[in-house]
Amino acid sequence: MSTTTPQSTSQAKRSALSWATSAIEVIVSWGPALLIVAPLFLLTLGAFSETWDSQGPRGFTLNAFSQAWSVSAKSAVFSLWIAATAALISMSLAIPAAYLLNQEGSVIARVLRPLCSLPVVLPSLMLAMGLILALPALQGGWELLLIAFVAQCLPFAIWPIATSLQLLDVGLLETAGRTLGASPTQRFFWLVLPNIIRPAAVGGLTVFVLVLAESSTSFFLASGEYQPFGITLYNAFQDLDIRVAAATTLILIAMLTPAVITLEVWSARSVRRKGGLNSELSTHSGASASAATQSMA
Amino acid sequence: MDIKLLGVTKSYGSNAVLVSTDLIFKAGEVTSLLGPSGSGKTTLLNIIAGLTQPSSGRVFIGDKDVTALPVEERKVGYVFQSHALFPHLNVASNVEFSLRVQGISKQLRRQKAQELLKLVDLTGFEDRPVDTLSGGQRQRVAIARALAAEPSILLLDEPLSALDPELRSRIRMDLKLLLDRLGLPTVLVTHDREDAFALSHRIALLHQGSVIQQGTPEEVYRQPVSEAAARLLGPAITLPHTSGYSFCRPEDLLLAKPGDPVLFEMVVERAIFHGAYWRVSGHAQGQQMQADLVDVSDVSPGKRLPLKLKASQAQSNPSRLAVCTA
Repeated sequence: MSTTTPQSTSQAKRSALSWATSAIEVIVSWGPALLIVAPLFLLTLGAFSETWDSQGPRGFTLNAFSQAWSVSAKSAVFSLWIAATAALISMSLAIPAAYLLNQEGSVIARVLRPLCSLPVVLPSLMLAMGLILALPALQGGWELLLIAFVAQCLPFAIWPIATSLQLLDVGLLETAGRTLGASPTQRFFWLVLPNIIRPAAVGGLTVFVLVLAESSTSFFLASGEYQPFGITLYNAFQDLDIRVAAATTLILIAMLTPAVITLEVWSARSVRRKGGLNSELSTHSGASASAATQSMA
Repeated sequence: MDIKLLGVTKSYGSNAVLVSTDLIFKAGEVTSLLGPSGSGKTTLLNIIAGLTQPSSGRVFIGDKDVTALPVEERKVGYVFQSHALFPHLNVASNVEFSLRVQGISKQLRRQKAQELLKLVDLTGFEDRPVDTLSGGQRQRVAIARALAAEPSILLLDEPLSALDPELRSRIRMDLKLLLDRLGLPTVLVTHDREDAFALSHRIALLHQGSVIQQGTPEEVYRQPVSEAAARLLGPAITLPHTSGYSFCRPEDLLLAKPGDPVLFEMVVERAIFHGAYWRVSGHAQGQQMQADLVDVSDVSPGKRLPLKLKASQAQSNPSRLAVCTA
């Protein structure tokens, strides 16, 4: 016969509660990750398989990769080029734009600040159609794609810089520069720019990642000659050869991964190096970048 | 080189921040602008620096009218409350900044920076990132950076307010020694009377945009010209006078012994022991007051304490009880 004391009941309750808490922790932390990892795992298996039918992927071959690369190589190179170009242009525009938007008491800055987020909320279709109507001569060319990408992604380049400008109290740094005799140009290049170069790079890299994975705007503006990778990927899935589509997806992931890792490393390095105020900067920059990549996903 | 302010005013719309102000800051003297928040002291400092344009009046550095001169050309050394060190530059590069602006060669810049860092006792800190420095060290870097431009005047905005109390008293003494060594006309903005007393040769008291009194620390403390001036520098007790009124300080009061003339009887409200004395708060003759008493045994609330003035204050130094006309 077993006896149950109040103490052992209480211990059993505590143990059950602890077990339940651990289980919830695992579900909450790993559940969302599994939602992304599971399809990727399946696509990886499929990309290396000989056949993939109703019974799932089977066998091992690299054939799907060679087929995928033969149809997507040109598009991959074009996407890398246009993403890098869009990132550079966005960075170049974002630095002065964020600086101007940060000017205290400027009426123009006050009006432009909310407008800055407009390209993010504007549907891709609207932007694409607007550009086609406004610049019909450029339709089918890479120029229109580039303009669309820069317009769409510019806020992601501006936000990390604007955040760091606010956290740094750049107005105070500039006033200090003034008392030391620095001209406006010297203040911008010697005081402001060095303090925002890291968030600017984070913004640029975010634009690069976004453009590389973009497909909505490209869908309306791409041509046979200038086809971003998102469209190639879409076509691969349309062609119903799921092994080739899976391999094409892995090629895109391979292109994105170094950029995403670099983004994470830059953010982490900022935290380690600067600490305090600048850690907040990089956290904000990193948060901005993460938000962008998540919105892309 | 003296700095003069003649009839300087500043208004924002109908809001007068500074009313007609005349001040002279003499070479080799440290002057504190002491006043509560909103009294116009930082506005005055910014007008001297050229960061704010006065609505009227003139600012002279030596004999030169610099009123219209922008801050970049005024040669003022400004030490900000938060120090405003450039976070991407190391200590030496911060100090060298104004020399870099002037186009001076790197070698000369580094030499000058080392001299200035030696002056502020920071030799060996040249390559340190500024975010690794303590509050006191950051302040000294800010001073060295301000001095690099060879300013004609040094302006310090609340230089000690960012420091904790213990560090503050130590840095205050270091700063005093440094300012004495520099010998520059220095204007210091503070709302802390201890900072003003410790660091200044002269104090200008600001109240509601006006300079209500200026003089040596002892003059303004012992001979306030008005109640506002008296209370800006700590607790003051109003003493009725035949032709107006005068003030004394809590430390000027003594417990009257039997037979002594009693100035007033204070009803105790609370008392705090400070080691060397009791700070007793209470009221008498319709005014709240404090007295720093040594030989007192019972300070329980409600107790009536007969108080008199210290003999030295009442007789040997009558100027210390200057009469203010109402």
